[in-house]
Amino acid sequence: MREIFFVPERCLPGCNACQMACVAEHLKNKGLLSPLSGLPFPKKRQTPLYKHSVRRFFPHPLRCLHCDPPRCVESCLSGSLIKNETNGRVGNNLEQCIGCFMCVAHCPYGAVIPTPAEHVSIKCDGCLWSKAPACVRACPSGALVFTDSETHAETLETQIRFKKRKIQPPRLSPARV
Amino acid sequence: MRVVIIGNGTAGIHAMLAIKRNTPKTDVTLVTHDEPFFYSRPEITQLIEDPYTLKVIALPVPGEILKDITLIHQTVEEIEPKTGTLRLAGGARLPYDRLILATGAAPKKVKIIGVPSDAILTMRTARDALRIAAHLEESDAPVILGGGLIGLKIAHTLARLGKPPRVVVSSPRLLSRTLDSETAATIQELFEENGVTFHLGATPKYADWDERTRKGTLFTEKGDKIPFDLLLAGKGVNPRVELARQAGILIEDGGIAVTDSMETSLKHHYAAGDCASIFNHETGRYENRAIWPVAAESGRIAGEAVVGKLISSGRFSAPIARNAITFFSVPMVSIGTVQGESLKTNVYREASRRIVRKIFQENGRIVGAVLVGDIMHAGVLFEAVRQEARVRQIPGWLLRGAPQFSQQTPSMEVLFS
Ligand SMILES: Cc1cc2nc3c(=O)[nH]c(=O)nc-3n(C[C@H](O)[C@H](O)[C@H](O)COP(=O)(O)OP(=O)(O)OC[C@H]3O[C@@H](n4cnc5c(N)ncnc54)[C@H](O)[C@@H]3O)c2cc1C
Ligand code: SF4
Ligand code: SF4
Repeated sequence: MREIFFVPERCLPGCNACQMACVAEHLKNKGLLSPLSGLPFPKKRQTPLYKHSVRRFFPHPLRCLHCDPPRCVESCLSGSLIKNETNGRVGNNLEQCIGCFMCVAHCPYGAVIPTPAEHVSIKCDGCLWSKAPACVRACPSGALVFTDSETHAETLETQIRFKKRKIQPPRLSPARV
Repeated sequence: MRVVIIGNGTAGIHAMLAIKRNTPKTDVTLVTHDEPFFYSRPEITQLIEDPYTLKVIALPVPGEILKDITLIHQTVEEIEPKTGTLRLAGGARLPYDRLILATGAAPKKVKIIGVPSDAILTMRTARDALRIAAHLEESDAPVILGGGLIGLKIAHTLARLGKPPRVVVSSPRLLSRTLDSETAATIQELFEENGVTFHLGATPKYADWDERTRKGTLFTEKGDKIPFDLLLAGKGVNPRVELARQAGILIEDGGIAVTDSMETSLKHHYAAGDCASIFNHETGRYENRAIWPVAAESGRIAGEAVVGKLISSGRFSAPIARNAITFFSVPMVSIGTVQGESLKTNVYREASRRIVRKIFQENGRIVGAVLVGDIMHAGVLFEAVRQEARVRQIPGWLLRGAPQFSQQTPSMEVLFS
């Protein structure tokens, strides 16, 4: 299964394109343009997902392992957490979630974040209905990689080998999807 | 092969899904005497608030699986294991090759001298909730018997509807099996702020009840006189095992005794969910634990075992009690052992935000936790209890519930070595 990997050395500090992409992806119209340019104050950006990624917590997208079988899905009282059968990613349908937080009490990795005020729990869904996660698609420097763990380990090894032999590693191209 | 599942609660649904996902060709039949569709039992409190939410509480089941199964809306009256048939009410017979019993549990009946027991309403099905909603319209003084999770869930709903009830609890405090005394007091305060009145340590003795007006007074052994016009009970559940008992299946701890693969004492007969007692390797006993995640997990395992696709993933995690619930926007989680003399308690409090986080240790091992107000990392604690993680010092972020910024997944090996 493919997962999202983070390569900290490649990350451009302050770029935040991945976070913007995440917000845009989870907005109904899938675009930031209208909320950014809109007057009066953009209401659409105030989704629970957005508020909490900005205000209180930093939901760490790399933490969810999209387990099989996922304990969070089995504990979900409303059936709002679902595992996409084709690509294996686990996501929460916020419209059905009742905020009982059984999932929070069952995820062994602390990947589900409770929002008691909004009565929903949020987690990285790996953009389960699209080909690749939005953050990966948005990252300009290839710091986010979407691949399986063996391939990723190989890539990292190559990089290290290049460094040891004091050869400039090949220029980083944006993540291939 | 024909598999028949009795019950369409979460255990039945997960068994059905596991069978259909692994072997789509297997013939699956569900029999139920509850509603002939799939809904979430814990969500029925929403029906009291608004009867039109029946669609909202429905559980999503993939359409192609729905089309592919048979759902029979009938009561099973007898299992005949020798011939492999079920006798349904009305006389029809249903043959099976493998049987999964997911019959769930029935609420305990409460008896009070002076009130017929059918005038004391319980809550287990959607229909129960709708009945309560109908009675509630004419009620001004509802009284709830029992201060456990279900009792408080009903109290929470009534308080939100502007009819705060009186709650009669026989133990000296609330949630005596779920919380320790400090956090129980916090929850009690929260309910009292919202208008709910508690009578603690009060055992009902008898009641004066007028059938015509449906009004009455409840007398307790302590001498309280509590007026009521609606009596609701939330006093726990009894596993539904009559069918299994008749068929000669072994019963332990009130439920159907099952192995790690959910097989009962009778070959080709499986049980899962609230009706089953699962073997606890720690204590060497069968234990009945009537909670949703256990029902879902055991249902899946039963389904996989029936079609021979069980991926053995070690021991079943059922023996640990755990629950999460939110009252008046204050979330709480309880995991494992939460009270006892020999426990070492690690506490983090934040009075202004009504946060109490307690982690309990015994001989260095994490055995339980109670989190009120802030439940971050509750699942990490559940995993720690499950693995009986031994830690000298609880990491600060785990105790305080602070978000963790590390790039690593906080895996158990890293945390608790
Ligand atoms: C109000 C409420 C709130 C709850 N809240 C929580 C919570 O917050 N957290 C939690 O963990 N748990 C909670 N629970 C408990 C949880 O709902 C149960 O653990 C779970 O539903 C059990 O599922 P099950 O499939 O084993 O049984 P059930 O859902 O009870 O299903 C049993 C099925 O068997 C059928 N059946 C039984 N006998 C027969 C027969 N003879 N013939 C035909 N059909 C039969 C019934 O019709 C029913 O469909 C709550 C329960 C209630 C009622
Ligand atoms: S949220 Fe937790 S339990 Fe659910 S799939 Fe992700 S890591 Fe697994
Ligand atoms: S909080 Fe939402 S997603 Fe989590 S278990 Fe409850 S209903 Fe499911």
